[in-house]
Amino acid sequence: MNLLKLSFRNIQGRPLSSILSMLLLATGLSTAIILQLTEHQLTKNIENTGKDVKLVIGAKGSRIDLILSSVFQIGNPTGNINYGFYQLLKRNRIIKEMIPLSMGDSYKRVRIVGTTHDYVKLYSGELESGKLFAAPLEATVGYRASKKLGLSIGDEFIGGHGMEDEVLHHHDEFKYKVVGVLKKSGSVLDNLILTPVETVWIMHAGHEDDSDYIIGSGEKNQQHDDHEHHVEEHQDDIEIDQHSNEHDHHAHDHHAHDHHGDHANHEYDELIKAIDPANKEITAIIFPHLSGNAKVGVLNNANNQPGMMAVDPAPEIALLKSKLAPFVSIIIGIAYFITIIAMFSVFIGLLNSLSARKYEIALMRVMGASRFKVLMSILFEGIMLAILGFILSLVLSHIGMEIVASWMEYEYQYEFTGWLFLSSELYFLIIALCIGLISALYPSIKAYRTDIAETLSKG
Amino acid sequence: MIETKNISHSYTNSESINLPNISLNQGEESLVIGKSGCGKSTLLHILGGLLAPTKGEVKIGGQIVNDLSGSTLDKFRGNNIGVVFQVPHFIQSLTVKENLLLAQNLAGNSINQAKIVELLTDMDIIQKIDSKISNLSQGEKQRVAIARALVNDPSVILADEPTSALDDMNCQLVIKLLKEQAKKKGATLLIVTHDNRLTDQFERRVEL
Repeated sequence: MNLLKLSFRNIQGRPLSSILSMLLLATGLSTAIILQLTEHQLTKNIENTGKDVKLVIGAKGSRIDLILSSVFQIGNPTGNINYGFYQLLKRNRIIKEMIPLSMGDSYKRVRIVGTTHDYVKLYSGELESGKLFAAPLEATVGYRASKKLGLSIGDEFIGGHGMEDEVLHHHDEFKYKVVGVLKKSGSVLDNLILTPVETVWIMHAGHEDDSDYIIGSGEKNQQHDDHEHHVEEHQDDIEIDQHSNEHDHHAHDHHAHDHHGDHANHEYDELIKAIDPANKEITAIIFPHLSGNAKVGVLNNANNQPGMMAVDPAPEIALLKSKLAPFVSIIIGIAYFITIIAMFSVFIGLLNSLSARKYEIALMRVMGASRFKVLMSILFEGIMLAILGFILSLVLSHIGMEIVASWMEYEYQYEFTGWLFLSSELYFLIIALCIGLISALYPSIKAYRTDIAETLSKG
Repeated sequence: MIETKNISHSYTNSESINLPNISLNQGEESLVIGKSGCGKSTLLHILGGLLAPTKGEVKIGGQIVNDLSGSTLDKFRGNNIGVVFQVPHFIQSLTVKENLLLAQNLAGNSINQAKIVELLTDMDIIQKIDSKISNLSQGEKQRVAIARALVNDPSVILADEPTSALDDMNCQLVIKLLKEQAKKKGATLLIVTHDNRLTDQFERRVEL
């Protein structure tokens, strides 16, 4: 039976007060730890996702919305731009790499993104099984998306127009076919279904009015149309125009064949040819590894196009982070507040127990304990409560983070985990130790000063 | 073993109490009798090194207690003096055995479980060795308190009203045990009390 054991037994001796103190401390600390875990993972994800995208072109609108939707796959896009502009830029030799993105559809809350293989390459995506999408309606599914949806190679599914909760209608004439599943990459790819951009055109060919939903206001739509005609001038599209009225027929035809399963690729080729170039739209173009004059050139070019804008993600991400800062401060404030209450709880718990144990302190002195030993035994109690509170906070925060992770994942399209331990968590151990020490300081000094004879006479 | 010379003590704002000279050899036993408020507890606290007298000298086992202070005094007390109080107090969060272990630890002695078992057996309370203090009766508590006072083999046992809170049967038992154990260890026993039931059990008596 040494002092440490004695202190531990005394903590055990007043279970309610001890549990309250530990819970308060653990709540305060775990709030701060969860915040830190979230911030760490979010920042890491933002950096990983954003670092290779140097420029984004999309429809005019909120700059931050464009970055969020096209780079981070969060929220609704600003609208669509014509594929003609992408083709125009493609002819430009100084642009080494550009990736089209076509968004707006989803399957069971998982986003379907029309793009090229470069998008997979951008995040170093690797195939776990199957192959990358090649023909229209072929889909390569991200790792987590495949787990969540239970999709594997050969599965077919029907996508819906709209994202997340607001699926407006289902494109039930066409079925996607899973041709591949990606390995876990820890990037946006994990939570996406990827398909060629052409798929999106085919899907929407039967629903001209879709574009209204995507673009948002009618006014914007009008601007868009102007622009589309502008681009059209560069293209040889007389023949395609003739077909455009027939594509509805094609679509239904196709639906009839659907039961037979296999489609030859050329069937889609015809369908695609039949689509009016004005309706060939993509949501955004992202540019990896673009810098210097090339970047300035593309930026100016895009900004001069009606209904279009080019946005550099870096300052937008910085802005986003700065907008998050006040919320982070508020949560930190709350965490500190709870922690300070915890400190009072430890203090009051010790002081209360000490006034009840005054005689025990005198008794310890009678049995040969020095003043210093008595002081230490009370300090140990405070420190031990703090360490127990800290251990509890580790458990609470990491389990809590795992719970928070599930909805964070939905909100931010990234994988969050509670099973990540940061070395900075040790910093909270130091805070906990300080709290234990500070709150036990006065009670222990009081114990130190106990007058043995006086206390015993009163006992 | 115990020797006091002209000790007097005055608490703040009160008259000074003069205490009789006491001289006891090793293994002797004595009773100090007096009404409450006459300084019995003061005497016991001074003898136990818990209170420094305003005047006079206390010698225990050749050591002038007045000369000691701080942790040296604490250590001396833990090793040489066993004290039994009227109301037996313990560390409530510990069991009987743990209270005795703590007494060994605080006196700076090594843990001796065998001695604890032996003492508790002598006190006929061994069956409660792992009980919480709150589960003991008053008489049982006092017997454990005696065991605790003896656990470090003190040369002096001081008892402050050890029987006042007990019924006749327990009173006799406690006194018998105190005397037996003091004899067994060769310790000097001094009991201060106003309990008349003890008067005829001691040959040496000091009246206050």
